[in-house]
Amino acid sequence: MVGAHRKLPYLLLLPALAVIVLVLLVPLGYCFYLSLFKHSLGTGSHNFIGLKNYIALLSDQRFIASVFRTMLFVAVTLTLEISVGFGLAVMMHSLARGRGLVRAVVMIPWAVPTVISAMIWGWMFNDRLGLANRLLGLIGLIPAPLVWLADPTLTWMAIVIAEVWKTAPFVALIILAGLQMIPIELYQAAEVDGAGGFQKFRLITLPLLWPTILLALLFRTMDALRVFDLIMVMTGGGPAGSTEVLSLYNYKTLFSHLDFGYGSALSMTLFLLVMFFSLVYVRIMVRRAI
Amino acid sequence: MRAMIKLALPLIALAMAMSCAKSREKTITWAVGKDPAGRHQAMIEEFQRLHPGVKVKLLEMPESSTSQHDAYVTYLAAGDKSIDVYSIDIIWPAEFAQAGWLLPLNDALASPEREDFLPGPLAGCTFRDTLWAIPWFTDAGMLYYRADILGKNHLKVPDTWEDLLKQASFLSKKYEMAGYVWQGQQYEGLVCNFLEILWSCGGELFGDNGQPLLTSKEALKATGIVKEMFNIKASPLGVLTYKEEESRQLFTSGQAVFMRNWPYAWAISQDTAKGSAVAGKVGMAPLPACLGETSSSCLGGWNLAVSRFSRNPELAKELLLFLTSYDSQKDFALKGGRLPTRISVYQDPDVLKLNPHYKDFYNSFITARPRPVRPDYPRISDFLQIGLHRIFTGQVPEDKGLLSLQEELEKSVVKECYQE
Amino acid sequence: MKKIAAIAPYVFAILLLLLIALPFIWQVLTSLMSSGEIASGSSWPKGLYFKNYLEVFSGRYSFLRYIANSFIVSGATAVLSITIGCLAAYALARMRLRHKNIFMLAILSAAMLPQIAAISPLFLILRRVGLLNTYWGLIIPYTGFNLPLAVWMLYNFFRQLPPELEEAAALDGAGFGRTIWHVFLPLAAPGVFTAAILVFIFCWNEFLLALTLNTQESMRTVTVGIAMFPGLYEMPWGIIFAAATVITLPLVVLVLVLQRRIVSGLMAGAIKS
Repeated sequence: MVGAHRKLPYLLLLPALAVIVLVLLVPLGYCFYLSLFKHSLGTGSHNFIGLKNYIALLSDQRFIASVFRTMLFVAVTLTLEISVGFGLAVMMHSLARGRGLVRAVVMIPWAVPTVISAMIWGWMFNDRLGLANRLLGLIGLIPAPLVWLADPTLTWMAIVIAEVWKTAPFVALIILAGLQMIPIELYQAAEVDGAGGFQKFRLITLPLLWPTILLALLFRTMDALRVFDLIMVMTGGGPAGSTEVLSLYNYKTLFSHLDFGYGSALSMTLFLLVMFFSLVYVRIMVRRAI
Repeated sequence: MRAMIKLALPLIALAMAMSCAKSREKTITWAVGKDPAGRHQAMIEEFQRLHPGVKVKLLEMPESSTSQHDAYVTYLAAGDKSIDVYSIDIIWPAEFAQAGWLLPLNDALASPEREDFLPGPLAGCTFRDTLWAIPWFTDAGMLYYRADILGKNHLKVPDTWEDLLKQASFLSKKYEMAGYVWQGQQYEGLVCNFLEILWSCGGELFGDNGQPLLTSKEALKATGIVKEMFNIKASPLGVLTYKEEESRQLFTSGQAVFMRNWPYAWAISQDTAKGSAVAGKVGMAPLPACLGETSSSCLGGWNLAVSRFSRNPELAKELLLFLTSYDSQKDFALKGGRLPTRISVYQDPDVLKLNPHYKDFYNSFITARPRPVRPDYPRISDFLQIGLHRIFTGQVPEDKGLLSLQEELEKSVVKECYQE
Repeated sequence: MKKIAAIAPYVFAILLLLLIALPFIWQVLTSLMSSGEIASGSSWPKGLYFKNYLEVFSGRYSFLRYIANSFIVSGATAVLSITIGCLAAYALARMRLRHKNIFMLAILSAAMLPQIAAISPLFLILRRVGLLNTYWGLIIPYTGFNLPLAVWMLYNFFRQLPPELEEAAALDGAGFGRTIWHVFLPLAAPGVFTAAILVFIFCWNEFLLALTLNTQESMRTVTVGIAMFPGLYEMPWGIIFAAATVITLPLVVLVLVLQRRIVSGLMAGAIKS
């Protein structure tokens, strides 16, 4: 009985691990294997070259620039998403009525397929027909229509807005679930002790919510690092390559250059980058748990 | 137990017999972008009627070239045997052939028959003197203009870039609408639009030995023309964010005087049900050229190829020949709105009666050129898209931008590709 | 004065929601315009133009079939991810386990490889086991990609529950399965429900794998179905946006209905035991 009890947790993990092996380990192994070859179908070559693809990455200006862009994207969108998402969650939580309806509306952006929302936002920023120019023109902020997607800075604003619009609801839903998990008795007890609204927030809500916020941050970081569909559809990496993030460059090497060796090395690098950030989060989480 | 085996044996025998009967019926699978007119199914049925015992399975994909490319690359790189015939974009034959994914078709489409095909699409399907796909339907860039506006202002249709720019600039100011709209977003279409200007100014992208020629005076002239378009407001800056549809919508809603686009825009411009505000007011011409040079348009279009992994290559070739035959192409032109690749179909009285404008198309098609037929073309195009967009959006001056593009192409493309 | 203070948050909420829904509202309005109206840049449809919707459902593109397929795949993935996720999360959150952090990280890593890199190997694996063009061929990879979120969310919530729960359940004579089903799930209901919705929507919206792995028309999902509308160059915006509305609205209604049913159902279960 004791033996069975000790094995039980591992048995419970088994199905999860089996799925992981199938959809992660095998592809990962395949990807790593390919990354050791000069394997380009476009030129028909296939030679084992060890880690040379990885060494070549270090002097690839386009790769380095795309990594910086990815980091910038993660930093900017994450800050905005967490602020907006947190605000939305608190608002939804404080509503006495109609919370279900509000939650359903807030979910809409997340429920619109990315491919479609990217098309919609592309339209919104169209120079002649787009809503953005018309609204800004209406309130007199701009004298002439802006050509949003031909200017790197404006394009960045556009993709950040589109991304935050799409993913802040994800953050909001997770944080709302966390808020709902906090036992109401804690607040009641605090009120008996005479705590005000802000004190309740600082002493009860925030500490109990931290793990959930970190969770939302972790998953958003992992996804933002791999952002693909949105930018691919909205700009294709343009204007002038200024929104080419790592996954986009990766896609182009794999599917358009058919450079499977180098492309796989790029995929592995992106994987390691995500892994690195995840480890940082996990460390923070473990520390807090102790 | 034994009783069960006894019972099972006849069943197994029956199943085997049935599977044998089934395997006698040959099946081939054809992967192709969706056809809005629904002609694919009708053609397959006709082919099956002519070949008893053969079944053709239709695998319809999204029409988007990128979606098809992503999926086909995945299948072919995995040596997938489940698809026999692929319909491929005009820029893929060399790439797919080099990767060893296609069967050569030199014998399938032999001499007198081959001469009936337009030279441009044939060249696009020929790599290292071997034919890798049979041209199926074609496309090329055209100049669309507002015949009514030009008429009112007593202007003749521009045949030089200089005239086009002047007229577009003048008319756009006069009528407060866009002048000349084209496709300038950072994507494949930008390369087509640029090559058309480059070629029609006597320039080339690559020399005879495959070295890039982006520092030539023609290349500088071509980029200069584009920059000038924006300087004198012949084209709105928004063009740099447009693909086909954005420019088409401006034109057919009556908000632009000139447009470069593919033939598909013609039918929409004549169709008020599709929202055209300019039906009956539109003319079509070959694209302009530099003074003293000839117009040149960039070829699009789709071709049919046989997978190297096909289990029924001979039957697959039969299907190719059937789909590209005179009758099939005529049917496709009449009922499917696709432009034939056979010269003779453009002289067919039925076709001309229904589509008198095919004459205009033909004049452009006969001189239209494929983009460089090289296995590394997608990579070259990728560099060009970014490099040209940098120049046109004003991130770098023309000469500097062209020089760095030239260096980039020399470094990473030429050496790798021509070491055979 | 007091009344204003009571109403103010709702006014604020409504304004905020309008702002959030603006692009979606625009999508719906555009889906009600003819292509001429769209191209001329109107912002309000002249009349109610339903042709785009008819076009979505006209026989040529068995769109209802795609919706059914998406439903099956997304639903099954949500159920599977939550089930497997619950088992794993329970082990990680409530049991003594060596190398816990390594397991946590291993599960998380399923969401680390860029999906474009996984397509080719997944195609090879699924072809080997004969799962191409089947529901399972999508359900299994989707479950893998979503497992990290399910496990980590459930872990997070299971961990916050008081430690006496198992003892109480054991006193009642409940076995392990019943403890999870009747005690933990209901108490973690907000988390379970949220995770299930997020997983469901992820699958509903996935495009590249669905395009590559399930090529047969009878197996297509909604996103691939929408991709069938654009022509080589032509973009029928009205039809595309109508299709997008058709696949988004039911999702919102579904969530609206479900969240009441499921949450109250789970709560009831908790109270019973």
